[in-house]
Amino acid sequence: MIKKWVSTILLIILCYVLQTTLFKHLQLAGVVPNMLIILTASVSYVRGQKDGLITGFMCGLLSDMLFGSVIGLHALLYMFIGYITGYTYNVYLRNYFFILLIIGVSDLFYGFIYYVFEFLTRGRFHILYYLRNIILPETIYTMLAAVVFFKLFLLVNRLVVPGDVEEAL
Amino acid sequence: MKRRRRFNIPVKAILVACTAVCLVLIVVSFKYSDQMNPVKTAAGNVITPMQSGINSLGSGIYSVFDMFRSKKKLLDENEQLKKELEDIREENVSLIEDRNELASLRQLYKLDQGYSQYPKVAARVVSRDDSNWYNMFTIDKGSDDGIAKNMNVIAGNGLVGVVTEVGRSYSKVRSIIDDNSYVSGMFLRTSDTCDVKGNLTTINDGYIEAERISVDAEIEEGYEVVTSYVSDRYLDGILIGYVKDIVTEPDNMTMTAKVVPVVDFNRLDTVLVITKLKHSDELEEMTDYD
Repeated sequence: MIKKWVSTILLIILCYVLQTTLFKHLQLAGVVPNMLIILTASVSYVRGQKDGLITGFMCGLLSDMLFGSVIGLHALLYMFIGYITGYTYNVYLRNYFFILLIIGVSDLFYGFIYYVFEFLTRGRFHILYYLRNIILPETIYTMLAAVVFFKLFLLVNRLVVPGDVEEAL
Repeated sequence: MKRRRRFNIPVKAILVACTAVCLVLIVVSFKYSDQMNPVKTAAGNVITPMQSGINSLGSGIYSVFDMFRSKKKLLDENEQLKKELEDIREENVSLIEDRNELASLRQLYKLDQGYSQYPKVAARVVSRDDSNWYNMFTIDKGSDDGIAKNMNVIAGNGLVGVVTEVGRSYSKVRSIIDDNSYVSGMFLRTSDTCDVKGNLTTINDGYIEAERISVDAEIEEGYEVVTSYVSDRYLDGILIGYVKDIVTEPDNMTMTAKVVPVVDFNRLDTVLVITKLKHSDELEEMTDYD
């Protein structure tokens, strides 16, 4: 139990640091992949709703404290992403493309909500522009990054939660 | 099969509890944004050194690759550069003369009390913000190096942005191309004022917007836009960029234009922070309205 959460917190920090430093060098089409979404959705898919929403909450809180203007907004958003993707824990369909699809949809949802809260409220109405230039490229890049990261996550998960592996994939 | 643990709190209960915590945090940080700053600073003090480390590791790896790739190229280049150096030595003499002339011309351009005399601290860009929506970044100097909130940040000879948050050994900078950024600017040659606003949709094409220029302003393409005297945060006379595509608004009251920033925001690795604040005492009161 303790081992599981310590490793999760370390993963969150690792993802955040990578996202803000190394991936800025590896930008494609001006965007970076959203590692925190990948982590939240992966945890939800592999360990279920409860773990997913707590991980999402912590991811969001970290992001809020370091770059947000209002603390709590991202925490709420990531937490709900964790909770909703957690429903897939009970779905029998278990394969690699399915988790990539979940991560893609989560990032799309994140991008859309973020646009509504932070841009639409300030009267920026060109949703198609933002969709084409930020939301969609970010989703595609996030899914690409997830191909590698999800494998790594399964390895870490196998070490800390031995029982759940057979259910995972 | 799921294993049952001793403390099995229902998922819905955790969801409701965390949602409540979030809503409280949102309300609190809206109302008391200043009191929440220590929390942000504490988190920043933990994470920034890690980012700094990874960043130098990253650039270290890059430089090793670079070394292998370019050793042969460097030898050829060395020969060529030695020849060039001879030419440049001659040129240098005439340039020194030009520099003296430039100094006197600057006086005419009102730039003499400009930013070259301000005390400055050099800093490295450590990380960018975590989303693709904003243009904020972290630098590796903080309150220990004498940096305070609202100080101006420049690079090369142009304005980069303003310090929005300060930790012990790091600070956050909001660049002028950020969607939330707003600078009151002025045309250097005519002293007409304008509002320079960052815009995410236009910066991809390499410009930001200048609004509310008076229709009477006699401006032309290529004129310099600098920070204005009336700005409450930016020291005056710092170059922002060059104006182009001036358009009169349909209401015939104001004009808008595009401003091409002089700073290349995609390749920003070192910046200078001007450690002099504009009207430091008045600013104390103004931060409440930030």
